[in-house]
Amino acid sequence: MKAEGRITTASGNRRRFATAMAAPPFVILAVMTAYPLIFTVLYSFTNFQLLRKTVKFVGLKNYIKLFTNEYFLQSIGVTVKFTVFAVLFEVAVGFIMALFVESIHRERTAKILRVLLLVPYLLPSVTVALSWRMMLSPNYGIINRTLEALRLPVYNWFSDLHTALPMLILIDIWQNAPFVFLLLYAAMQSVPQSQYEAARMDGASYVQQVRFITVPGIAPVLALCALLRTIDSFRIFDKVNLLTGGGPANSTTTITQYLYAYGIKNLKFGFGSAGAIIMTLIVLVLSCLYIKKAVK
Amino acid sequence: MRGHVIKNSLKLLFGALLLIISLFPVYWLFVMAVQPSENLKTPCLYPAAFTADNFISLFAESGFLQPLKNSVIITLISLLFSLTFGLAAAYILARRRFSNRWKSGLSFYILIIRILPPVAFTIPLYTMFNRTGTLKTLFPMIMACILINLPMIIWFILGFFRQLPEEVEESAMIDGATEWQLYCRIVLPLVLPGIAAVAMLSFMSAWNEYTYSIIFVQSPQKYTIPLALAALNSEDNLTNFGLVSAAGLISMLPAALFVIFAQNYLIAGLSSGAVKD
Repeated sequence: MKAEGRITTASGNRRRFATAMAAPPFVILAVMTAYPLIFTVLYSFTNFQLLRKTVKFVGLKNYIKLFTNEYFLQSIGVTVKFTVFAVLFEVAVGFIMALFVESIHRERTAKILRVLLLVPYLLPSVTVALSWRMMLSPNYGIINRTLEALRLPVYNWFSDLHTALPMLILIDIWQNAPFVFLLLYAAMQSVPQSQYEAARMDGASYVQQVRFITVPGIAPVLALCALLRTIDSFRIFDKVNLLTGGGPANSTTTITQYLYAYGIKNLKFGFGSAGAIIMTLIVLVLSCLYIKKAVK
Repeated sequence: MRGHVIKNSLKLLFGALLLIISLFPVYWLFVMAVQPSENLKTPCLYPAAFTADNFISLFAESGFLQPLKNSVIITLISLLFSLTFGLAAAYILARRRFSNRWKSGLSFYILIIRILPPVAFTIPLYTMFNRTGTLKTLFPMIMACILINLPMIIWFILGFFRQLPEEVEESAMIDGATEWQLYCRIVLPLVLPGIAAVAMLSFMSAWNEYTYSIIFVQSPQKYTIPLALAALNSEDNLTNFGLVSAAGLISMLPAALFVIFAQNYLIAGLSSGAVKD
């Protein structure tokens, strides 16, 4: 009788402890994510504007407006272009960096290189954007000055239709390839050395070793990098907003930049919410493979 | 032998090139920040003269101290709460003895939050902060940083808790330790390296935050460092390069300190995604 009482208080205590521990974080997450998600969906079917008193249910009107809006459709295209190029090059450059540092046998040198090459990734993206903006400045920027001295063509990089988006992509690669490098380098170290030794005995060249041992050995991490970079590139906003503001002629307006300019800044929250829902659905479709795997 | 020499010098060349590309923008900020502004119109690869004027006018005239204070407050308070709550949630999710049928659903939900874009949350949050009259305070930014970091911390530290054998806790419990003592005195000290790593990552993501800031912060009094930096950057020929560079250097301070003093934790934290799978 007595013993039973003790067990029930023990499990009661345990339950109370678990509730006390888990309740605050999940209440916060509910308030900060579940509540806004539900309301973004609700708002998207209304003509909600912050400064207007009346809110009316308008059905699918916001969605129809978005899908017939040339600029919104263009922003999806720009985002896809940005994501495809940024992710491809970030993974490729990160992979080459990792192979290079992996090929250095002096451990101390490799360690120092690893942290120095990581620096761009650690900087605030606002700082990155501004330092590149100053270097690329048409008036006093070091890059145009150097190009002039070499008698090469110079551009007004962020206002030229041909260079604005490639420049944004380039800066994003500069900042984020080091992240891919770090993950791939860590993965390469866990590929067993014995496999390389066996391959060398069979007379495999360096390229063959990379192709048949390194790449298969790090394939899951390679996929993870591509996915993480896709998720982040797809929401690109800070560099766009700071460097081009979406211009010239909307050629760099990504989805988030579009929603910020036409749904949030001008307080047309119903319209903005519909755009946010469309973007959310695209992102979920893009990452559904990963989600499926993580659930297992 | 000759082939070896050629190979090594090519490697050296490639390494030098990589380092220059990676570090030149940072070096260039330094060069511009320490020079008098008239020197900047004719760029030179190294500082021709040194001055602290840019840093002085940054604080004396541009009022950079206020954003610096705001950023420190937002970062530290949000870090404190996200760590406390994140660790607690991860512990409960990681331990089988706290059985709950919602658990797998909750882990899944946390993953989804990491994937969803910020615009999925911003509009209702904005109206919520607007209605409660908190838009004029630092509160929305503190909450936004918790929103960013809490799921990240839970996801990250979950792996650390799962690696700890549950038997240690069971034997301590037989010795009469309460759940609370167990968590504070035995479990937390064992995951301290993980906490250090994730704390640095969270610190940086709060410090660098821009998307939520530009939506939730309205008065210049409440600007964070990224917003103040962005505000210094006006039309191209009006921008004071020296001033922006000085502010840029200050914005890098936390990253620089982490790299210098806690490199190993930082790198372990950042690359944990690769090792886990």
